[in-house]
Amino acid sequence: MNADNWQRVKELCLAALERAPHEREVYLREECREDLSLFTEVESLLAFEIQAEDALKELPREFIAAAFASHSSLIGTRLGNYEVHSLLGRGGMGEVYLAEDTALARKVALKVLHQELTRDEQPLQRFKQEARAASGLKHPNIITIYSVGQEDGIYFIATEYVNGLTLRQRLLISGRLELKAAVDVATQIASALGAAHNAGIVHRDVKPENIIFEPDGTAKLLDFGIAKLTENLSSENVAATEFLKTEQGVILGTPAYMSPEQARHQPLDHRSDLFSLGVVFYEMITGKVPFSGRTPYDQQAAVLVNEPTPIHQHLDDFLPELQWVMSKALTKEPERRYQTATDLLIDLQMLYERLQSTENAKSDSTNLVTGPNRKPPVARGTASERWWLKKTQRTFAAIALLVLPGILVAAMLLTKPGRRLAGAFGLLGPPPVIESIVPNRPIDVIGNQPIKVYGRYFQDELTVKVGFPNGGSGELSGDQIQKEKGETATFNILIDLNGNPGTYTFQLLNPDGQVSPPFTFEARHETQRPSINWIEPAVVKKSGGEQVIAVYGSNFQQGVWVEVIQPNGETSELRDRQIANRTANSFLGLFFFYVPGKHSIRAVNPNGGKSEYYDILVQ
Amino acid sequence: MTFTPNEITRLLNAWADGHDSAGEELFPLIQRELHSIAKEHMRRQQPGHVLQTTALVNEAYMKLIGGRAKSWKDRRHFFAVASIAMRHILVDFARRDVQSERDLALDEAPAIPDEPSSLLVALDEALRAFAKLDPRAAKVVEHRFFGGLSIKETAEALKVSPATVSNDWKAARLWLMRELNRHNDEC
Repeated sequence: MNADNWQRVKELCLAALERAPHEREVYLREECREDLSLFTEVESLLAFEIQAEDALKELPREFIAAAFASHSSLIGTRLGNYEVHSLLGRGGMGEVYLAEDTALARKVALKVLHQELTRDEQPLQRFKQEARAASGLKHPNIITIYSVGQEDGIYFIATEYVNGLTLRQRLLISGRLELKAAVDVATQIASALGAAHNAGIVHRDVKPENIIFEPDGTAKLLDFGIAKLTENLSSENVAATEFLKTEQGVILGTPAYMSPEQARHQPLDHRSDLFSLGVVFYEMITGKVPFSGRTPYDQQAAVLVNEPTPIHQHLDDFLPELQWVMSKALTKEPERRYQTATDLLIDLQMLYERLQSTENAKSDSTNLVTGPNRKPPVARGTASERWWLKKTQRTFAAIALLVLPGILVAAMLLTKPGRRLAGAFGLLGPPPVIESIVPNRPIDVIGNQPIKVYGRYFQDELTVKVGFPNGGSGELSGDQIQKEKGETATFNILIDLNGNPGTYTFQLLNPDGQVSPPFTFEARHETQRPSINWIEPAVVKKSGGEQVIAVYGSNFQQGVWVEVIQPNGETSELRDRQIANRTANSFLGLFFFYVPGKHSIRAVNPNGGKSEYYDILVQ
Repeated sequence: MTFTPNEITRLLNAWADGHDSAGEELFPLIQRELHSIAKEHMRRQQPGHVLQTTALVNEAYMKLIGGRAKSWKDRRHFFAVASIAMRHILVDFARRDVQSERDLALDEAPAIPDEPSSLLVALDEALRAFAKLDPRAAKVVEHRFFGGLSIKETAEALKVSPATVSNDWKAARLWLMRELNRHNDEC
């Protein structure tokens, strides 16, 4: 091709891009007429439309840093057992080299602390801390630390070497990932965070630069450089954060991926990592971070103030589950966010399965999946059961925090330290108390009924005894009790009363032997009618927007829909694609709220059965 | 070798008028400035946007010419030179990196083709070929990608409208993506 031909090709490409995809071929055939080579040339370029759109945005900063770094003197030298070969990259704390462990004849990544920094106690502490924090972690999605050492005053950490691209580099090349590949990566990182959090480690810098891929697609979380051990109480964290803030004038972390609490320099816990992972997840799917700004300061402000553009506005399809995961992960208040990495992991697995089944349903449509095609880890129970189970656990915590802040404080005071103390001295905890249950109206005696229990001093592994109307009694077991670990003020029950109406009692038994007073409730026949027991979120912050709401209750039939009475008295309906993930006990709905005020909703079954009205307050 | 902002401006103008020797004096100067800014950034270890090409180029501009620039022309020429300087620094590094990776892996499978250094080397080659077809659009890529300039800044630097830059940018990326994928397939 010569320059003149190219001008014509370029012109046609640009003109075709202006047109809707289905109109392009006709347009091009008309323009090219007999010139088949011109036609194919334009077509072959247009095939790269998606890839080109987000391509060449920005070089990875490690790369730029490495390019600018002065030649390091370490290449060709030895550090302990390691022969240093070449520079892999450069971070805030030092360089990372490709090296070889001569004793074991294997390649390692050698992270070397800047020598200038070893003179100061603070960075050296951080460096040692990273090693200490991360070396105990063994997980397929976390880079393995082989050894930590010091030679001639040079401090280094040897880790597993992954000869692959970081997520940042993958995004640089392709702009964004296929949805399914993105879910897969997020699932793997959630799994890694789960392991780290269980070990009491918060990563604090989850971002695409810190995720690297094995050639088989396994994602690994890197760089626990600013990770922090959380086993000590948060007062120490506050002090440390304050110190870093005032002494160094920097905030640790990367603005676009920081949680609001991190951006505010507040004490943070593992939930901060879940927010950051949410940001990464959003970026993988859309090619854009949800909170952006020209400068780091603008980005921080955006994290604190802005709501991200709903994810489906970037996609062709509306996927309520995806919107749900996204808004749950990117919620500004940690209390209303995912509470554990495992909760997030389970929702991601659900989403993955959903995508898989949609894809299977589409038969052999196209070659969609470019990412690794590994099955997500298997968890117990059917998909919908798990969905319900996890959702209710979280709902519990979220609502408890919204409704019962006093109880929350009690819960915080009484969780781990309290229990540890009691255990150490052989003391008993206070007896559990049931204060209320939801629904606070007669419960249907047919089918599984979800019930929320509110109260105090609930311990893990507690037992629930049920007294029947005929005087008999029984105990709930297995999946019938869903309680979040460490949560002392609320838990969920799934109960089937076998068709016997009348007065029932609940009595709780903590594992330390303390027993609650009996709590009574009524049950009666309500069958055929759906009922709403609770919804989440119960209070919607922003009017004029759309919001995914989870509705919990019973007797929801296939094809259930929702009637909404607006504050001005007008009614509207939610049907079909606005309702998703339906089970007999829960579904998700995409609601549109145009005005603030009280919205009353009820569920309507296709058989005509209608629930009572349930109110949503839009602020 | 130190220059006053006025001298730098003169050199920039001379370079833009076709005096290549002016470029020979300017490149090392600008590259040195870029290096020292990058080093300063790394020393301060600011997280986040550190070491974006945009930031480096703009900061170099402020340091070398600053508020003393007499006209948009100075800024324009500076951006053009700085983008080329950035390209040299980055691509040179990438080449060395690819080479050392090859040296290391002599007895092993070849390095992964789409690793960033290899990608950059391939991009540089593709861009040379593309410059023969569409010199202006190739400049647009150089300014946007290597210089980190915005559409508006690129339009200023190339003295064309932002719409033209935007079109060139679109078309160039289509062409380059196709070329890079070919390169990948061959490897």
